Amino acid sequence: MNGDSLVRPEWSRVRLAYFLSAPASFLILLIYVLPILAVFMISFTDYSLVYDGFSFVGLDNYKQMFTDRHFLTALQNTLIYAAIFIPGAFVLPLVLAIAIQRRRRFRSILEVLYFMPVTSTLTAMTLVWRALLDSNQGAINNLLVGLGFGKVNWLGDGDVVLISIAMVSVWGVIGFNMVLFLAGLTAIPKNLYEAASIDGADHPLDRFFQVTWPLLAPTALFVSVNTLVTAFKLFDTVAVLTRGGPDRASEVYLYLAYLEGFENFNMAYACALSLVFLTVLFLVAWLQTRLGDRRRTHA
Amino acid sequence: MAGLELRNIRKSFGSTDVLKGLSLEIADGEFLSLVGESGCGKSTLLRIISGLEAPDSGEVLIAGEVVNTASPKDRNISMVFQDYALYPHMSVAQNIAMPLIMARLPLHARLPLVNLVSPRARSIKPVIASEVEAVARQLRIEHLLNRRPAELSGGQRQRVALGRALVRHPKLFLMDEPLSNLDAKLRVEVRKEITELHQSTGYTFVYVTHDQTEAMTMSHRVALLQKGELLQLATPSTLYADPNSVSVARFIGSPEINILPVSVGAEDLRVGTVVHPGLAFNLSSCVQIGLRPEAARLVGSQDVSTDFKLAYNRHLSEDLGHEVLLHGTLAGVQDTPFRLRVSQAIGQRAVLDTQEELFVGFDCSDLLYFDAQGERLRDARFSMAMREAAQ
Repeated sequence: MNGDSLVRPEWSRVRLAYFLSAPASFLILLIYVLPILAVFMISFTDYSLVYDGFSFVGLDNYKQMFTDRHFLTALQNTLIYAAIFIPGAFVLPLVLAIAIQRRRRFRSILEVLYFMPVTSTLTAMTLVWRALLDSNQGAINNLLVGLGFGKVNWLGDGDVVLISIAMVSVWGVIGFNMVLFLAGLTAIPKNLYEAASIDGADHPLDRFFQVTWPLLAPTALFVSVNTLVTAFKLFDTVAVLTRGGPDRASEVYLYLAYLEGFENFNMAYACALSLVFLTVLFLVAWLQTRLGDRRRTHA
Repeated sequence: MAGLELRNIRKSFGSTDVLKGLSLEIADGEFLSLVGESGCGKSTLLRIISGLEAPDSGEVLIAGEVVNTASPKDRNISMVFQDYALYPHMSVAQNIAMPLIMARLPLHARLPLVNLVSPRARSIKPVIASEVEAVARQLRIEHLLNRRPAELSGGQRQRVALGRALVRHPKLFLMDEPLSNLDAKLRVEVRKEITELHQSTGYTFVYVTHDQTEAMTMSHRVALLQKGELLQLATPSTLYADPNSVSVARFIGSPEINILPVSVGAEDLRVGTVVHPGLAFNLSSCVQIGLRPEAARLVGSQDVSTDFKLAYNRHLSEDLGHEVLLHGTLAGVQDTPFRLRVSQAIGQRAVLDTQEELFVGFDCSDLLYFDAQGERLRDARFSMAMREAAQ
């Protein structure tokens, strides 16, 4: 046996590489790429779930969005929801993480408690929230009455419903974002705070703005983009809590796509909506990597 | 007036007593080193002086004022950390400016965004910038002011840390092993610079190190700590020549001092195979002696000029050019290593090169006497000197 036979010929190694990566590539193709392509194709047709056959209609589905009243309502609802959800889902976990990080006792218990909603099934938890938020027998309204306030029609009032949904979503995401912030906080060297306190920055605001916040920036960027995407992906809470009601007041973007596709059977229009959504998410993700890269080269 | 005074400082972490009632006083403008092995409490002591840590009991006085309850910023001190602790997100200029901004701008003017529009901030910033520049010039880092710490070498970061400490003109300048992250050559260079800095500024320096060379070369006085207690506080030469205990003698000096077991009779002293008679003073509690490697010398086989002469069993020699360091044992004390520095200068080298069999000679007056606890028996040596003077 000579040394040459130990080295596989080049073509053989290449073939092996393709062979080994084939199953994963096939699955990615089957699960991600083909459906996206299918959605892309369908969005240029008048395909519907209830009729056989279809014809190409060009950009009609996309043009329809600009005239669709429901589309504009859904877009507006999504933006309002995001405006309530994102600050809550960002600031609350940050404050909690900072508060918890300094504790020695109960720290792990608190971490587990706040993280629990993340591990539970959101749909099941949402059912519990529906009971809690019930306008007549709900525990929250009972509490409010007990405290001397009036009842709030949490899910039935068009002006309140988006706030209620945002509240439930924030509750669900606090633990996750808090753990991310905790990881970021732990990575900040302790002696920077000591240097800061010797330099005179021992006021909590100074500590935060001079040390914590700048060093937490990469984490904060990740959390904010992640939260932004989560905000636009809102679906299941709406589906379980309100079904878009009252009177479309909580009909958000993905719920509209669902309605169009599976309730109104306008599959082609739903595909167009999904593609627009996908494009926006792609842009956000791209922006995040760009920002992340810039930060890394600057550091 | 004392620059810094510590009165009976105690500190424990859990059940570990880190500092066991430590007192010392540092004169204004003095350069004092706190030396000791890791875990001796020197860094904890520095943190207590700085206010980062509070003592369990005892008092810290800076410039005559008790500052126990004062926060670090109110003590008007500066500290250089072992790994510099520069703010990674700030430029060199911003790093150095930090203490001034904190001292001169009110809280609201330091907040982000507000600081851009605050008239106070805008009027003070140029003043701060010029002071930062002056300090940077002094440390020869003015060309680095716009860089981030990540873009600097270890030595440059060290200078930035010094700059940040200097800029506020502190009453007390604290350093926690500032040279330990530098390579050997740079360390010697920065050591010299810190000494010069001390001379030019005249600030009171407290310098923590585990490296005796740093402590000996830089300081006016050295405080040697062991297990939370102050073993000795003295000038470097006193620590070397006149140590209080075996621990001090062992810690100071490189190569390490030779410690040999001895037995003491009524009026004689036995080292290895040799008994030296006629000691007219009480050494009854002496069980070990210390002898610096350069205090003994090689003698000829017929030489009888020294009080002690013992055959030397050489194991290893290290030729350093200007001197040869011998490792071996003395006749009769085979278990204890005996190091000997043979200097080129005084012709000892010739003995080493020509003689096959080596003899080491030393006098009673070269010896440091210690009791079983390692405490120095001072009056022994004193008596010895008296006796010699009387003869």
